[in-house]
Amino acid sequence: MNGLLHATRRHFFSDCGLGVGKMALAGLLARECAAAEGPRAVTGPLAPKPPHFPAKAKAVIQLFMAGAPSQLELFDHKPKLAEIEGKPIPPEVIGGQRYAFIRPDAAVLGPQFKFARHGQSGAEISEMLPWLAGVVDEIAIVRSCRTDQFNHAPAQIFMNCGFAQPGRPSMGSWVTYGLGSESDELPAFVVMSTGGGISGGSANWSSGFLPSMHSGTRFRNAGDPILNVGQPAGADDRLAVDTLGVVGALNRTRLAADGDPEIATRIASYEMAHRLQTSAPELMDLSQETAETLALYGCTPAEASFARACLLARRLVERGVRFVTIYHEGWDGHSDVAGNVRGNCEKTDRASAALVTDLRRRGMLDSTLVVWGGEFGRTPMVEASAVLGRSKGRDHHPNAFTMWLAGGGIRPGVTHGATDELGFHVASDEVHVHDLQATVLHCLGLDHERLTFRHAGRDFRLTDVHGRVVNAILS
Amino acid sequence: MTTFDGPSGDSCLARRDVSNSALQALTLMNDPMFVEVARALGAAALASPGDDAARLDDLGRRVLSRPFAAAEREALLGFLSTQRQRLAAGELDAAKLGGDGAGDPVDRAAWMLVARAVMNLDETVVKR
Repeated sequence: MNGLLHATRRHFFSDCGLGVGKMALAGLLARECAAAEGPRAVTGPLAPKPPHFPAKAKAVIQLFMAGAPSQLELFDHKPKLAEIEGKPIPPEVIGGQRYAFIRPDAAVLGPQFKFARHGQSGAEISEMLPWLAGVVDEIAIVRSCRTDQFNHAPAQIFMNCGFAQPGRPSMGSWVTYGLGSESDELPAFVVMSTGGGISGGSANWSSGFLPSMHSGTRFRNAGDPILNVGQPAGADDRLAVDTLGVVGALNRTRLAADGDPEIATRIASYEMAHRLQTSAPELMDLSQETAETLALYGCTPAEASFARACLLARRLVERGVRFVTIYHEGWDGHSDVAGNVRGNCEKTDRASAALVTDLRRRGMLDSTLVVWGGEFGRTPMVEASAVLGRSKGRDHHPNAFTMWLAGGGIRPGVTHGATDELGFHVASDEVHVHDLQATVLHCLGLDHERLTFRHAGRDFRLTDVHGRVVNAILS
Repeated sequence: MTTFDGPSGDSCLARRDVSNSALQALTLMNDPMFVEVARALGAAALASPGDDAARLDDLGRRVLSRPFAAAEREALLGFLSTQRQRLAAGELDAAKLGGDGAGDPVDRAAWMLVARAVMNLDETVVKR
């Protein structure tokens, strides 16, 4: 099928030659003229595609809490840990589990914060999440998440790509591959980052073996989100159109001769770059937001922050962007887990809750899926090391952790799954990373078993040969 | 470097992920360094002997290791002529685009713009 398409395109371009470039230029000029008329339909390989079945969600905002927040300080209250603090966990519970830093016989550390029940759903969450407590009836908390990976980079890549080694497409790429883009002005898959660097790096938003037009576009959090949007001094918009016209014409000739679809991606990238020159400044203009909205998020427009990224995420989705990931890196509390959780909650709790509230108020929550969580959890046992200067921390824990989801397709006000009394293993309703991925795709109207791409001789999926949709958290 | 999939300084990669994004296009078109490179390349083409077609082929050899095909040459010479007219008419600022240097500022700026276009061809950016 692919071969047939390329051959057809090749004949088309070799027959038409530079005429196609002129057609493209005419199209761009016409666009300039029509710019005042509002959003335009997306055409080409990123044109919107129908889902496999009617979708609840059209867009996803993924709040990726990189570094792995402590579920035991936030969502999974385990009084038993306080009771037996200082004693080791029985070896039969631990089994063969290995850890990044601690020994399996490390002593138990009790919960560092108080928990209380909130809302009509009575969800039990920690005093560190006062803002989330206010929207707890609108989210689904999953306390029984499990992953296969216990180090940051592979676990982050696993959460995004369903595979722990770099090289496979990320969830955002699969989604834009499956559904196309609703925005002609902005990239379909946008990535932002607050806090420190991301261990897994760009493999987390890679398009892997999918055409590279599906990879995430990284927006900077500080200063201008996109560099070099402005043309060189002395230029005007007509020059941008002319330059794009001649570059596009020559690239099309090359595409006709070569047939590499990556050339088509490059042509599309240059056209998107041109549109970003007007859409990016508009997107970033937070003076359009009311003081009340800014206060809701706790956002100061001039300051780089998680709050600003959340507000931008809403603005991106409002403008038709399909998938936004915000990485907030910094939850890796190997030492002083209480201080780590307190600091990161101060930076993220208010804005995460504000995002849910804001989306609801604008009637966007029903069509936007919000996913909050890290790449794994943290141990019930303490991490302490005189050599590393660590005390009262928690190590990486893949066996059990908590995430929450809200919005499009998700049943509000439920707490799903449970861990054992030590918070060590999942005790009921396990939700593996592949199950989460299957569920996200399901909310978007995509069947994770049918969303495939043929590569290296076989069909690949985000969920590989795994994954079950978690029906209990669906509305 | 992250725009071009480079790793951060604290890690190494056996193989880079390959992306092909609008951010790369913006960098190659508008980043001050690439604008300066385009000026230098344009000046080199302008300094080579012969008419515009010969200069264009000089540019092609420098950047793509080949002269341009007839249709490509026609498109680029058309672009050169349009921009030259617009520069001469003052629609584009020749002094700002062309930067400092000897000779006619309109010619310098026009060739800078042609060099910039050629530097942004897929064939220039990607080795296949």
